Amino acid sequence: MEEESILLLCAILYLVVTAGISRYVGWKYHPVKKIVDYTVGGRQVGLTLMAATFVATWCSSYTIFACGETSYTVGLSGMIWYPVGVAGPVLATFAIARWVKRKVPAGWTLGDYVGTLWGTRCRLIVAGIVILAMLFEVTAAIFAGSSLVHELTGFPVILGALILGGTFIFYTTLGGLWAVLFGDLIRVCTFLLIGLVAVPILLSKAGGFSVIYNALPPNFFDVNAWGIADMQNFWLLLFGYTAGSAAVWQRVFAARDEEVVEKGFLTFALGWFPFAICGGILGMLARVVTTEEILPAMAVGTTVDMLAPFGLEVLLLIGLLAVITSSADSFFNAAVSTWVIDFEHKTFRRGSSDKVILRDAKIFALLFGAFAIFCAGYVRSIINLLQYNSYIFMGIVFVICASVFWDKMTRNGAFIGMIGGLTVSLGGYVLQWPPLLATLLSVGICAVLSVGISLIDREEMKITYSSPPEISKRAFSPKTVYIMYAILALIASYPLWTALIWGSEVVIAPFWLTVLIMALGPIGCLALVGQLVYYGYRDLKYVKEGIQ
Amino acid sequence: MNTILYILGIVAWISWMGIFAWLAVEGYKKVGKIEKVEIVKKA
Repeated sequence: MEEESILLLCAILYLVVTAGISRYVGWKYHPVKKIVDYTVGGRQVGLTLMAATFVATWCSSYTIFACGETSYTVGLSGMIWYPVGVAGPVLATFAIARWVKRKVPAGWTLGDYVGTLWGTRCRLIVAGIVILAMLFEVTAAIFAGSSLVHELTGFPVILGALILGGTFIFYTTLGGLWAVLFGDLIRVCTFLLIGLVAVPILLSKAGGFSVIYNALPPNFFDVNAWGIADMQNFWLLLFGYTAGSAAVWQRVFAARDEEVVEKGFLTFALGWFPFAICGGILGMLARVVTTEEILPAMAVGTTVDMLAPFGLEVLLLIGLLAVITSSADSFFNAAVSTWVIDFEHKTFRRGSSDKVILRDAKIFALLFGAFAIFCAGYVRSIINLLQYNSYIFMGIVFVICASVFWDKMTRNGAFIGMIGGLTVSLGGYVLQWPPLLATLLSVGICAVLSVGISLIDREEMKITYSSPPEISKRAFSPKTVYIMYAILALIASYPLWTALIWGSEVVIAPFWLTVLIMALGPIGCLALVGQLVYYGYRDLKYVKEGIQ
Repeated sequence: MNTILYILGIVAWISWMGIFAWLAVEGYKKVGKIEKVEIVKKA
């Protein structure tokens, strides 16, 4: 049998078997009986699944390929700044998640939270944006996966899209959030194998750290070559994208308690970095294995092509498919849950039984999935779809943050602010304004309109709260939270303070530091395994003994 | 000029993280469950 056929067979087998396991485990341990099971896992999700799903959802093909591309282009600094760039917005969203879980422990979706405060108009706008954005996400993921299979095996893109899309649509439609969570755990384990097995093997095949360090010019190891100044817009967009992500909010509402939200977020902030560094290592190795100038986006592919033996190619293919499907199923499920809750349960089918709404959910899921597969056949660029997504969230992110931290925003203020923000963000995208200008303007217009209208509005909001509960002993102590933020602030501002102390913006990492940074990829994967095992132990204890 | 920009950069970054750290700790202590949302006309 030819290598391409074996690769294709392995890819299909992996997709079908993992889909079957996700569905079976979901059905066996958490059968879907009510809407609450289907959309927010009965609000009973524990530490292990929460940590795994956050990492799995946020790691996408972009994590591996974009980090590889940046490291190939700018060197070591690319490897540092992607993880730091993701951890910043996630830790900022941590504050939002903590408040939201406390304010609405029985919440459903992002749209539902907004709708509870500001009524149906705002609920439907947010729900509509979420469904549209999730359509782009799912389409981009299906396209990325089927293109990857096409590149490696020559299998037609549309057939790849049908198989890839068909498998995760199958278990997500039938099993709801639980099936997604179990699937995400399997997939995290799969892509941990890349970090623990594939990357060390490829590194040693390239000759090890010293060969890399000596083969590349010193400026490649300048830790300030790329970073804080290049990442301003990335940070802003990613903050909007994280804080406005329906998948993140859905997980916050699905957590069994505040501790699960907190610990899940810590893994969320840290869990990205091993994979980003591993992607960066693969990208950097391309510089070593070939002297020809290649397209930076192809850096990871070039390393795999030139260094990986066949068995490793199979592992990398299924690892990448795992990365892609784990994001796709979460976004798909977020879209279906938004439809079920915001359009049906809370608006157009109020009072209908859970059975009727669950039936509608499955019909919507099948139609949505089929449409996403159809769109994937016509996509020409994933980047455009994802950029559009980021911009659209920037139009509403101010209102979302205000909904959490500021009680004076009125229904009219929120509605007009969102419309204004969306108009500017989409206008900026269509007219191709400079990214930072478009982002700042859309947030600014949304802020001015929503706050201004709220202050002059004839009506005002009166929100009554129960008294704050005692902070659980299992929750992070204030000291821990401050230390977490301080460490990130210190790391992220290192280009600034090192430049002030050393008086130079160019800081070439010595050999030992280069090794340390690169080794953090596989070591981080190992730490993540340890964390998931520990969370598994805690969850078992919780289930058996009801220990808090 | 560069030094001023660097110091401003550090201040901006620390403030951004500081605001969210404060919200996650001090603000959080005062948060309770939403019991009721009402719309009232301003006098």
